[in-house]
Amino acid sequence: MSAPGGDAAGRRPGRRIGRRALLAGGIGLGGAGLVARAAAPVPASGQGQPPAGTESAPTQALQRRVYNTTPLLAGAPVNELEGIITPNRVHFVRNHFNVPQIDAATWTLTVTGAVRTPRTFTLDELKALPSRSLICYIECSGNGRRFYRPQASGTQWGNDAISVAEWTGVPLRDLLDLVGLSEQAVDIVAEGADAGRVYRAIPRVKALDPDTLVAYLQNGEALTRENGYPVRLVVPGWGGISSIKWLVRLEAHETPFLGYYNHRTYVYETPGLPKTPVQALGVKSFIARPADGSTVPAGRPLVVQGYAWSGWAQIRRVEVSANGGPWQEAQLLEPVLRWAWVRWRLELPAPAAGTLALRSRATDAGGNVQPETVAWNRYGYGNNAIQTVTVQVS
Amino acid sequence: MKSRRIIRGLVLPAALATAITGAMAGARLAVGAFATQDGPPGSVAAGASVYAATCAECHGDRLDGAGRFGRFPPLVGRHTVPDYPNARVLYEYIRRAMPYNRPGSLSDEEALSVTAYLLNQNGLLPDDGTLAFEELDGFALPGADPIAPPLPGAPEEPQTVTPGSSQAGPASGP
Repeated sequence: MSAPGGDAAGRRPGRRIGRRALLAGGIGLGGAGLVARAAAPVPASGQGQPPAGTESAPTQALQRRVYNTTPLLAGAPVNELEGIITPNRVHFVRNHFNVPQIDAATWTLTVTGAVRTPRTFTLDELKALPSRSLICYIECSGNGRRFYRPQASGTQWGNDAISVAEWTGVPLRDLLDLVGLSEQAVDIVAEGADAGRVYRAIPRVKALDPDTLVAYLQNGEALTRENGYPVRLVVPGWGGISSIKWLVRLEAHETPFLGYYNHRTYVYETPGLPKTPVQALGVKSFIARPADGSTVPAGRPLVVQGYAWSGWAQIRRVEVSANGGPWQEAQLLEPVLRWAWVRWRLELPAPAAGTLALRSRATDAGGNVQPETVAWNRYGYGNNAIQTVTVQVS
Repeated sequence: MKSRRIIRGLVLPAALATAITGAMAGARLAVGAFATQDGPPGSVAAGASVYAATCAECHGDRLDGAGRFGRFPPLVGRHTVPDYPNARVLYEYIRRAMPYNRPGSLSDEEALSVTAYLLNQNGLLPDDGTLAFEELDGFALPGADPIAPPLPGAPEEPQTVTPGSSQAGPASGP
């Protein structure tokens, strides 16, 4: 997943080049393009520069789109990302309350309720247990809300409320085994340490899935504060509300838990239809490039690329249709991992000048096909309908 | 008892009430006692004074969301309190997450009283009503209806859950 051509861009093994040298005009670096870029204005945030003390070439400045600051709502730059992993600093954030400032040295996780031996874990105790790493996306239940007509209530996310990281932690089931989960337990309620103690019940079957993690590493370093430092739950494939951040308490219940984040919000409410809880989000894809509304050159083959994922099963196929034409199968780019989003690519013959409407459609191993339309629901959850990207060819 | 009677005799503006509540914050019992000046814990009357002292600042004197800081969620009307499935879910949310600037600072009794007051303001509990902890689970609200009701702003045409959509996924729990 490293940027191709990194060495060609002037990387010199064994030699350390600091940020200062780069700012001074790329001293010691080969490649005129790189020098030019280094001399260009540097964003105030410092993004677009290589991490201090490393030699990787500057990459394009990735920025989040901030919808709200208190609490923080920020979308990932999904149209600019090129790899599978979302860098930690641009991982999307959907918080319900302010970010709690937790001291990892005093943080504890209490596992209690319908268990034989309630127990409290320190971070060191958690890290001493066997761990598991999983490259996994987390997607906000409201991702794609912007595409509902009429407008649904809530932040108008496009495709930017999803991100992918390598999460490392202890499978939740291992913790539940350690405390002796009751055979009768039906729900595990996870609670965060943010001001509102955001809490949601995870049904037993999903809590015991070996891929459901109590995670303390995000892409090989501590979780960012805004994404749950020091520990969060990662509930693969389910709407992000279940992946409780700043996790401090797990409570086993022998009767179904009735709660705000299970029954008042994060419920599909389509007038006249049964209410159902948001759980796994369905099979979905979108076109990252070319971007909607952009102009592409005529007379040249057009590379269409994007991402696909499914909360139900591994991605099996992605197809693209141009101007309502037949679906053409795109290439899935390796690796194709169960819980990561899958990169895909299709090269179209040079399109004719004019307006070009591109659509993508994903299919998973369970035979689920991304639908043309989805039912409208009050809060605009779970929108996995096929999207159209319109570009001008000239 | 004596001090309660004295307090009840005073007409306290909300700002003064807030100041007193703040001054007494160190003594948990005292705050509770103050909150019950107009009635026992869980009563609509006690809830009204907790609301005035703690909630009105943001949610507004008329519970319309027009407080001192701009728009906050309104607390009256079909799509607010009545949309909870029962009083327990409403109570739990208030107790854990409210008030927004000091979540978890209400006592159990204060949260219960505010719950009663909000139910009252939505026509779901009489003015002289009282809510007990044991009644929370069984106090069903319109939001308990398993079928989603009509909604302003929803599409006119009937909706169907299409195969392959997230909403069509198998539910494995609540």
